[in-house]
Amino acid sequence: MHKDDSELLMAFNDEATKENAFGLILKKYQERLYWHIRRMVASHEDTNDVLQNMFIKVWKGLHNFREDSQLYTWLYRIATNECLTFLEQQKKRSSLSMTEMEESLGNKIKADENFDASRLEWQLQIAIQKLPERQRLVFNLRYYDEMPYQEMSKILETSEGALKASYHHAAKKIEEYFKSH
Amino acid sequence: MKQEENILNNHGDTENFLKGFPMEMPYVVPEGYFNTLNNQILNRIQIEEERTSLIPALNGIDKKMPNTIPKDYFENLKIKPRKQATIIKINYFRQIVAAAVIIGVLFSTIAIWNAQNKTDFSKEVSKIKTEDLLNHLDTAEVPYSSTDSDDINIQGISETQENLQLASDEDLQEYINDNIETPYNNEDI
Repeated sequence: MHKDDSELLMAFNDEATKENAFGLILKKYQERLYWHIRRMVASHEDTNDVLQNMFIKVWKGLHNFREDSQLYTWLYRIATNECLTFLEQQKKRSSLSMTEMEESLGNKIKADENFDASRLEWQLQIAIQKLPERQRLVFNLRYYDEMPYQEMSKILETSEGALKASYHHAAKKIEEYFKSH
Repeated sequence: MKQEENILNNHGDTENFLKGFPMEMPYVVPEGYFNTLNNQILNRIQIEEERTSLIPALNGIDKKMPNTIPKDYFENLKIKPRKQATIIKINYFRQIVAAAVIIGVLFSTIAIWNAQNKTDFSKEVSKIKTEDLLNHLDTAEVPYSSTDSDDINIQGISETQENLQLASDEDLQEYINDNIETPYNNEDI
């Protein structure tokens, strides 16, 4: 049974229970964060790298966390930043343009051993990977995580209005993708 | 602002469009991944804390190698498998025959080589004109003198000893009587 976040934070700040509390936080949020990252980077191996790096940062910074925001909002923000950093590094390493990067992510989806081009779920993933990074983030958080714009604005540090506009643009692009394919 | 308002007014249409799409993700996570993730992360944290406490100077240095690899190196990397050496089974008798043939060929080669390079001294001498040989003997220096050679003296002594053994006592007495002169007369003393 999951403990309350504030209880977990108290336990984390006590050296005797720190590791155990960290394990419980990890267990509580790992799946949600995994999927948030996987939707952005597509492959499991990349997701695993980003998720592990993200939780190491959480371990290092959690003692500084102030409870003026919710723990999961803070975790999502770290995960989002790690994703964007990872994608940026990939672009630099392969000297890819934005369009080539979207193409590369599309290829990663197609390389998945379970990929089935006839299934709507996979087609949607390819359409999402063609969106610019920020629109992709907003779309995923709204569509899959059903996150309120208010929460999303804390994670992405963007106004609710701008997020709604982003979501709308993303949805329109996806609609156009399906009409043309 | 107007653009944002228009977007928000049309928001319902796009929401309706997306309602027909599935919510589930098609990706698959390796079995047991989430059960082992906790330990994997804690191990990494332990290693990282150990590293930073032992060598603080390494803090903040990226562990990734700064070297670059040519583009698509690993994609194009092909390792040709080595051809395995074939082992030919030869029975014992064949081994002996093979060894004998090799030895035979070796000896024949040496014999032929020797025969080709051997000089027949008598044949070579017969090719020389008699005049040339006589000239050579006249002009050639004698390598040693019989008078100052110990070898010749030794040879002469041994021949004399052999002759003395063959001669009878009578012959020896006769030889002494005929040849030995008395060096002085007793009467002179």
